[in-house]
Amino acid sequence: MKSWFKRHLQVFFYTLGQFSRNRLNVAMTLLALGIGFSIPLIMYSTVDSLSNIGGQWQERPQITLYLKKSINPPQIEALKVTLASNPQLGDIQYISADDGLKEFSASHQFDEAIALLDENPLPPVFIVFPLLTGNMSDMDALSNNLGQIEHVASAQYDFEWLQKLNALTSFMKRLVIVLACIIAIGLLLLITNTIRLEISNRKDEIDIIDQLGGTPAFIARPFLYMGFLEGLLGGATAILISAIVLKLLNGPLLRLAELYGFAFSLPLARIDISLAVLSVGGLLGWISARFTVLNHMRELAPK
Amino acid sequence: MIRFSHISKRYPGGNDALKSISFHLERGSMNFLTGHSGAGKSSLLKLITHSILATRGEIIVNDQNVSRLKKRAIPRYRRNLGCVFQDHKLLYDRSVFDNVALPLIIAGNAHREVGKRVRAALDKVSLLDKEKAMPITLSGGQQQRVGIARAVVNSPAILLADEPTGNLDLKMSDDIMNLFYDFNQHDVTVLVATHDLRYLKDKSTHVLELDQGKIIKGGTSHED
Repeated sequence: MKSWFKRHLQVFFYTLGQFSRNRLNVAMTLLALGIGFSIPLIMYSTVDSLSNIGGQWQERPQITLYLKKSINPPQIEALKVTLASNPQLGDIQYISADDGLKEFSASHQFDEAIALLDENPLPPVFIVFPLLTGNMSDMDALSNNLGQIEHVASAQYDFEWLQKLNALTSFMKRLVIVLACIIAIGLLLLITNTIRLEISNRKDEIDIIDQLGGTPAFIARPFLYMGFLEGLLGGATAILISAIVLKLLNGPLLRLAELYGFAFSLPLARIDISLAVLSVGGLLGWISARFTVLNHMRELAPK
Repeated sequence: MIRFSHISKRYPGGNDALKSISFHLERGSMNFLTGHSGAGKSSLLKLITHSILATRGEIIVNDQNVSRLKKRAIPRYRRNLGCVFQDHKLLYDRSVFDNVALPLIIAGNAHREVGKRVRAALDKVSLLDKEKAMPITLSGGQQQRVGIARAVVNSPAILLADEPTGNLDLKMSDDIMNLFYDFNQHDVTVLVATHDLRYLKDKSTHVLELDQGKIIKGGTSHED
């Protein structure tokens, strides 16, 4: 057991040594692997974050009722009773003009601009949560009805774009999976090719070791390590590249999200996704190396 | 130690390298294999190392039936043979020490054991001072001695050599050949393929002579 471990450690460091002797070639391979891996990784991170917003909001579609500024407190109470008696509505939330202004200035840091205003520009608002889910036309009808109620200036619901976003993100998720599979095959071929090249560079060595009584496992081991390490380090490169790209995307994305009223940014590298990328990379590398080496071993059999 | 019975080897394409030959090499014997180029010397050696398969016949080496070796048993079988090649077949990207250590590493020997045995083998071929050198910096004769040290480092029962003196001058050839005699004194069964006539006159050795795939001296050719 101890000597088994020692032998593996030996091959591991031997392979690292080979890498440092062929620095340029290895760097180019890793970069190619990293770029390949990073494309689905970046797409996945983006789509996953987007669908999280959609998910949060979609569970509770809401309609915002903007009230006329002329409304007085008893009328507000009366309106609340009317809304509460509507069987299509669940929770009802009232936000006075003052509360609205406070919230707005807190979340958008417009204190100075607001201080310049003579009066509060915001109307009082009711936020209602309909009990219906999904059906767009029901939602439309309900929102229209609510808009007709006395003292209500207008009714708006922010459901439609979320549904579109949701449809878009689920399409994108599928796209990412398909793309990832295609790229994985490409990377498999890329690693296969580097292993094949390495085998032909070390053909003499393989023949000699075979002649001296090396087992197929002994002969294959350095190549399996090479494939595994290439895949693993390729995955690490991909995580690095995608973190850099996401960092670059985050600035503009933050401004865009702000326009929609979200505080939203992409996490640069999530532990679970990174671990998945590293294991998939290592596994892909090992599989392609194994495939290539076993293929070559058949030539060594006595004829 | 090595027994061929009715061995024929036909390569794909119909070239008959060996035509139904039989011979026996005794345990601890010193043997030379000779004949013109293309007489079948290399094929005979490759049959012993199980690098090629006989078309017909039976080969027994060290009480093992070579033709019936299972795939998994081949590596262990080969570790019991020491092989020396005309072109040395050294690994030129690593030191003399690492070259000689290779069979021990392959067999999974402990680290301490490796150092001791490599130095003993290098000492035997008088290259102890070259253990850190790269093979490419050595002369042809020295490289061949590294190859011999590698062949004997794990004390095989059988030593095979294919034209080990082919590229060497007379003095170096004698040095190499004396090494083989020396190993033979230590109960190693030695088979050296050569066409250097000087060594074939030695009465104490067994000479196998091949001509066009048939044995004309030291064994039997069958007409079947």
